[in-house]
Amino acid sequence: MRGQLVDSYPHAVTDSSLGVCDLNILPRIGFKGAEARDWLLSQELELPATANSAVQNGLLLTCRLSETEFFIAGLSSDAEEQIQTLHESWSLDSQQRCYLLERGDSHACFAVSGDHVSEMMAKLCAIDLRAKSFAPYSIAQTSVAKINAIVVRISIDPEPRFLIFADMSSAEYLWSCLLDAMSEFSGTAMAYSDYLKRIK
Amino acid sequence: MASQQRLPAPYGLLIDRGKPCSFEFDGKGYIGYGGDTIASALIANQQWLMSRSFKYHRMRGPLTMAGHDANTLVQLKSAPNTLADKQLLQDGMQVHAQNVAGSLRRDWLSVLGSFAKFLPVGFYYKAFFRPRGIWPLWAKLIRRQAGLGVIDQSYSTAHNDEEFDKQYKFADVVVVGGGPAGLSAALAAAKAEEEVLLVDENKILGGSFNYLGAGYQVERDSLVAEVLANPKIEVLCNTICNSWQADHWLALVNDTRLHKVRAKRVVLATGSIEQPAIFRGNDLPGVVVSSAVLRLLNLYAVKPGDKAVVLAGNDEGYGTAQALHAAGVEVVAIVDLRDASNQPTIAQELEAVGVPIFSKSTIFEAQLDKTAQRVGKVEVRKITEPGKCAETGRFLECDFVCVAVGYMPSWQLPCMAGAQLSYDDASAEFALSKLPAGMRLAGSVNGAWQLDDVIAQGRAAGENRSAGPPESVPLNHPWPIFAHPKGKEFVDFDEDLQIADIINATRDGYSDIQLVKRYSTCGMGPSQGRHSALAAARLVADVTGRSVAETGVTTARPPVAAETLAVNAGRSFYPARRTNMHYRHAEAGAQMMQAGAWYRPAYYGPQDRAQQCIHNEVMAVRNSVGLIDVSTLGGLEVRGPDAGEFLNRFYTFTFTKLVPGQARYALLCNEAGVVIDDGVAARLHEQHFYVTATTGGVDRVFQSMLKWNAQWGLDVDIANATTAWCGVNIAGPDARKVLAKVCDSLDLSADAFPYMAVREAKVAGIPARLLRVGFVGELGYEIHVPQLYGEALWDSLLKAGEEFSIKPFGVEAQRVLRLEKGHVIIGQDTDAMSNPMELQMNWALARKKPFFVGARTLRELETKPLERVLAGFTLPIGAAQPKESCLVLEGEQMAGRVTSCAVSPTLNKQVGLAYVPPSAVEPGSVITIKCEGGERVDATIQALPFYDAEGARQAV
Amino acid sequence: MKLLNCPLNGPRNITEFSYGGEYHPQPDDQTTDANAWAEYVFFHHNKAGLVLEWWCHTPSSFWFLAERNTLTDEVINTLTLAEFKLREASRG
Repeated sequence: MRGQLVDSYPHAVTDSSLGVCDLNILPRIGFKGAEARDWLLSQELELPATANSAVQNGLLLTCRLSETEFFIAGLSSDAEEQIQTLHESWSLDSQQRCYLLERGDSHACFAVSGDHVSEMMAKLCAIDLRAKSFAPYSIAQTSVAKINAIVVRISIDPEPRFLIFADMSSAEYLWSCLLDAMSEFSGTAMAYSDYLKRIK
Repeated sequence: MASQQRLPAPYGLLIDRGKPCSFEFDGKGYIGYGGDTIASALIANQQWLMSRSFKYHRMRGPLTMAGHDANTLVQLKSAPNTLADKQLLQDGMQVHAQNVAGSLRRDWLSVLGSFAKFLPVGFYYKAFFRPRGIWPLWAKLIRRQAGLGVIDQSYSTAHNDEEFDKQYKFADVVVVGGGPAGLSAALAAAKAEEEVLLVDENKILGGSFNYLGAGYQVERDSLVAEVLANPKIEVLCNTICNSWQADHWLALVNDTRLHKVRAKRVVLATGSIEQPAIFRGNDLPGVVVSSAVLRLLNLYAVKPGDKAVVLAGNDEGYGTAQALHAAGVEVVAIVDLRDASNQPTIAQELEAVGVPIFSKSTIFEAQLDKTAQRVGKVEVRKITEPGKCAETGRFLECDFVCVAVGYMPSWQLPCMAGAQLSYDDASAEFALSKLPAGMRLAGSVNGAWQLDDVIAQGRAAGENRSAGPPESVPLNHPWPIFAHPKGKEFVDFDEDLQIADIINATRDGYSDIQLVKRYSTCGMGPSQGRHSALAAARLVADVTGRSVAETGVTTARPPVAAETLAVNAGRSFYPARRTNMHYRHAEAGAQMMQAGAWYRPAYYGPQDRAQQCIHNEVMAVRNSVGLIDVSTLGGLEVRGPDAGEFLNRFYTFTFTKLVPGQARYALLCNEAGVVIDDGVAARLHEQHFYVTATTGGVDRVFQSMLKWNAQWGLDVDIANATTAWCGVNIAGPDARKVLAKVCDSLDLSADAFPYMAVREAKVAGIPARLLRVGFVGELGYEIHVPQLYGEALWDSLLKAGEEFSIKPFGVEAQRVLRLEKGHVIIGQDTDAMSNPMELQMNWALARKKPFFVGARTLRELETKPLERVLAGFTLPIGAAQPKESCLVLEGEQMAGRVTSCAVSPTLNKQVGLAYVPPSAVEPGSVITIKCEGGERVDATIQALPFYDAEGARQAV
Repeated sequence: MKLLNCPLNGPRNITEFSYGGEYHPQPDDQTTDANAWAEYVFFHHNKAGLVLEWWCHTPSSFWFLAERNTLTDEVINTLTLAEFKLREASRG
């Protein structure tokens, strides 16, 4: 949690086994307001049409949390520049009802993926996150391990994966809850390099 | 070692004769089989005595063989209060009896039975009151006698790797009960493409199919196989549904896992609970219900004994008599409570093989065989009218009694869901109605007894439609209750309550069934009314002249069956929030404390030197410079054209006139004029305010802001940025000097950066918001930086402050510092009624504003005299120290209370805040405070603040 | 564990929500008399029947209104504020 990606763990996570990866250092940004949608369209981003859904714009995952709130997460460190551009393009003086949120500071990001990932999440979260009920790019704003979290399904095939965004101050707590819940399924922490291999 | 009596296959569906298990019970060795329960193995060895009753220490053995009664509670090393008729036998198991004084076979407390008349119903209530002062004696005695099993703490500690866990689950339909009704329902629902979860409390599916006899095996096997092969049906055996909650939320307990299941609809096929007959000696080992006999024969291949007497209130009793005869047991007699059986053919068949039938008769008394420690004979008498017998009868020798007098449906789950349990006095039939939407019943719980009806109901429930009415099978005898002049006709076996106890409860004035329960404890034992509710309702109805339906049964509450505490405790969540500087505090030896979910340093240093550490921190802030982590403080971004107007309406002060670069104290009231939060609102820009709030209040304040603006519709955006920012407060006379070393782009002079101003600049290269605040009453700067830079900021400031002896200080020191300045802490010095006038904070109310939340109420309150005022008081060091909530007294009357009190190292006296009557608020007044332990001290009122009255030090 | 249908997030367990009290439009605080004002601040209508209430979905900080039958504890309808205002406007 001190600002660097963990590149290796003593145990390598094999192809499809359950794992959690700390993605806190990847860039994230949020925008909300009555004209947030318009402003983001002017930045040439594709936006989800409905609340609680997401679209992927290259390396950016654009999540729509409500009619007027958007959460944009970089899916790899290569997205840094794009997020930075969004940051610099925005200013308060622009007379637009679109307001910036520093999601990189306020929110932690974890990826959980692999075998039994929905069963593991069922130990922490009361939402039905199974493949049949929670399609790719669905979003659930809910409670995970008793804290507020945003759960986004990234994929079902070839591998079921979720991104979990939660309050940064609870990052260590959530990390320990995730590891504990996955121990039953032989899940472990995953290094960023292993994670990158999986998302290719 | 006694040898077992086992019947040959096909008896014994559950046992594995190839797997003998040796075990010990009460110090004696026995052999059973894999698949046996402890109870079935013991009875196979003709060991019926398994426990001693709670009050009279009477001999007890199984009644139901289904885990429905508490007679079978035994002690295992790993757990007390284990149901012997459910616990699977394991090789090498050591089982002990519970609740015995002496031994199971010779329990010397059984003599209590003779003193029954001195232990009347309501004994507990009566004993405690008179004579006065006797309670401590009873407490000691009762504490020793109460409780059944014992927890072996060393075992628990050595085996705490057992993983108890919780998990959520989802299904379209949950079917509870895997008997013929449940199996049919599951298959029908799966056929309709629903996702089915089928649960059964037993190890295998089948329910009553399993013990009704070999004739049902083919149909059973076929249904079970179909269910197991169906991909849309998930089966959970060894799982009990312990509660139904709103919108079909179910608690399913499977060994060590609690499943919290959300179903779209539920089917309850949970069966019925067979009822005992009430006669003297009905609790003796060997007196069992008819389904228990069938379970012993068919599931475990156990002959319950050699000579049976069958008490029949229905025709099932005759069926069981036939089954006993077929298994080689001598059926000494059938005692039929009715005039005749409804199936004369079966009666004739039994008479033809030499089984005498005594009609319109009952067992008046069952007597103990003292050597065998089980029933040895029964007295049969003619029934003259309901509940009454002829003067004499005849004795029949037997070694077990089979009772078949009726059933109660498993009412618990439906009644938890709001269903109504009704009973027809004429037919003695039950019905469950007023089920919630989405709940269906199937099987005997719903009055279906013929197999065709049971399966039809199951299918209908699975297809989510009603079935037609089932064929009525008269199974319940309306009055199998026979009082005996010498009593001991047990209504509640768990609590040792006899007929007279229930009747006397009503005579003591408790006629409502809820009161009878609580007064007599009927239904409060481990079986939770399964066998006492019906009999108690019948007796109470009869003696109070009401129908059983009018009398009713008591409220059903979860859990349906006992569950271990670990199942509820497993996987608990304790959210923890940490600031970015957390590890710096740990490394500096901080004692952490919790404020909500946040961890904050209380002080830095060892616990045994707490006071000294806190005082040192206070003095550092007063004399040089201190640093505190205030990241937990709420941070709200209020932005937009109406930002100022919004804050004007929300808080009591005026904000529209603040110029960018200015900050102002923000006091928040609710509509009742009560102070609920405070902070500082800093204007960074025409359309941007950064507003702080209390650590514990910010989430509520944020929600409240959103709710108000939903109504006002102002052009403003509100965001909770608490976690996005880390913050410190650097405070003390040298604060400016330290800051100057790491912040060279800002003019820090008093003119350029005055008190209550806000600036944006880089501090140690980190973009920051700086606020000059005065909570602790010294020159101080709150520096807020993006969260990721928190630790770096902390390190830079400590390094820069080294030459000025900078010290980190914690929450405890901050509390003393602010108290020296008379600053209130919301929630500590304020309560749910505190308004700004009581707090002497009228200065924070902007009179000229047209509106703010609470304004109108405050205008009304201001016209009334104050009832109390928060005032400052002092005491010399060495006087007793009042704690928070200690009372302020006027004579013997409460006149107020202390809200804060601490030793002030700065002023060398105790300072505090207290609510006092307005008459006592003048400086110099004396108030009397009653300290913990009762000592009273006189404190002197002093004007606030105690320290630096002009406020010069913070404004420098 | 009751289910409440959040207009933004769909049906969720009641533990994800916090209750915000009955919906009462604020009377004019300048002209309303003291008694009427006190009633507005302190009294709930607590009708046996349909009440309109504030609810907040805590994880998303989303406020909305629910129409609930206090006799049966059935939530008849949940509305966003915009929907409610439209409805009030059309009712005249």
